[in-house]
Amino acid sequence: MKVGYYPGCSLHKVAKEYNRSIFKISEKLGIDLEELKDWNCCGALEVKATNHLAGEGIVARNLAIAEQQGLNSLVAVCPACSYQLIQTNANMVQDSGKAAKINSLMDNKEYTPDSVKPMHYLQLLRDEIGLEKIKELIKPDNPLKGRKGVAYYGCFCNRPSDVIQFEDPDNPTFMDELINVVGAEAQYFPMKTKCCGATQLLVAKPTVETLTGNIIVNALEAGAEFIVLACQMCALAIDGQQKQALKRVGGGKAKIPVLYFSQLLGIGMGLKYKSLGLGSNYVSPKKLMKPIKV
Amino acid sequence: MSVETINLNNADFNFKNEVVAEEGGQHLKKCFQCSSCTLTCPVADAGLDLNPRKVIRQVLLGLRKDVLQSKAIWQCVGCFECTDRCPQNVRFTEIIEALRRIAVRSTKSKDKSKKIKLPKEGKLKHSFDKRFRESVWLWGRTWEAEMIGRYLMYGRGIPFGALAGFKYISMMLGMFLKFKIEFLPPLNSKARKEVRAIFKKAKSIGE
Repeated sequence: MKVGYYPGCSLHKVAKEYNRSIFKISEKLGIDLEELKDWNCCGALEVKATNHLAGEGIVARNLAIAEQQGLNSLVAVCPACSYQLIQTNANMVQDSGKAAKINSLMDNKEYTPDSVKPMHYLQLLRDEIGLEKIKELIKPDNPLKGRKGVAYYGCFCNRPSDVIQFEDPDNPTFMDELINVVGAEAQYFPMKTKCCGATQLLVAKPTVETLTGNIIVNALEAGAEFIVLACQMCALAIDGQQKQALKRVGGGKAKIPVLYFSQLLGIGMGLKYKSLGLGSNYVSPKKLMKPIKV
Repeated sequence: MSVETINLNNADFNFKNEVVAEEGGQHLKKCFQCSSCTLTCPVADAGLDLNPRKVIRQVLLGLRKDVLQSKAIWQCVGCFECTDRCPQNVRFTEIIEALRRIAVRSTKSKDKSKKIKLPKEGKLKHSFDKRFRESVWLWGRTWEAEMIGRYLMYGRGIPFGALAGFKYISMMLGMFLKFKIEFLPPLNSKARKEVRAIFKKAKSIGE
């Protein structure tokens, strides 16, 4: 199956382990990822905050490239990117006047609204691949079997729900199902959709540390041995800032490994530690790699 | 609990229309003050000043300076939780963005009654947004090392402000040790040229 792949700015270096593991599991699952040629930044929330029209124009350029390459669906793994792509596509479908205005910004490209379906990689896994196919590829004796984990969704995977239309915004369950498929036990985790604030990491660090700290403490109280997430910004806060965040909320000196959902599936499929880039995670997941003694 | 007195002598009754005319503020007047947004806001939960319901009420009453000069509008982390819970579909996250744009515009206003000063939080956040946009304009994609470096230099004021960057040293060092900092700019001339053209046209349409 051929799908367009929009990596986004941070995937090439800041979250290279995410990129690498996504390609590895796609190979196993039979998804042929085709990277967009000459893609540009989606602008996240920041470009729209200063100039709204330009923010929508640069997103539409990426969609137009996908249309030119003849792709029906376009996946992004950064939830902020996938949100921008979905939002701009929806805006252009709803309002044809706006679509014409956005198209007039581009010199040699034009995007026909709704000709490409942008989505997050998780949505592709759920709707096109299905849990059954993933289950067939999982090794029964993988090291995560019997361990306890929590799934953290963050903001843009499901919110705003009227635009994204993926899962129930209050209680999304797909990543919990992925944890269970691998053989680990997904725990009840009340803060799974609370924001970690990572977009403000460079602006208001104390706020981010408080928000992140609360999430980690909640995960530890749920008895989790690892956290699974789907966003490289969340990883930068929950994984990279874990020590400072726990210090801020007085949560002790625990260390909890943070995995991307692609790394979780990769470990379940028996892929090698290095090929999934697990060495690049800030908190080392090495202790997860040995089978637990019963 | 004490009752706060609101002085409406200097209220600008046209302020709500200004926000409605801005992109993203269209649904402002639908708000019926149920406070669902405030109850679900993680920033309010962490004990900071942001109170979405109060901000909307202030805008509707026309307390222009109180809103635009407050820290509150700059503390939002943009998580869309209020947008999702709102029974009236007010889309508060987009209203916050509209208010930020109006606040930045008002700092350069020639009309003295409309001129405002950004708070410290506002200056920082706006500086960050600006560096991000400039990085997209310069390279077509963001280059984190350059963007963060310039933000730490300009955002906090040259020369001593840059020293405030020491808070981030542990974070930078962590990224450096894991080889996660890119030292070369993302060179892609086609993306760069076309992004610049889009920015230029959007600016000319906006004016």
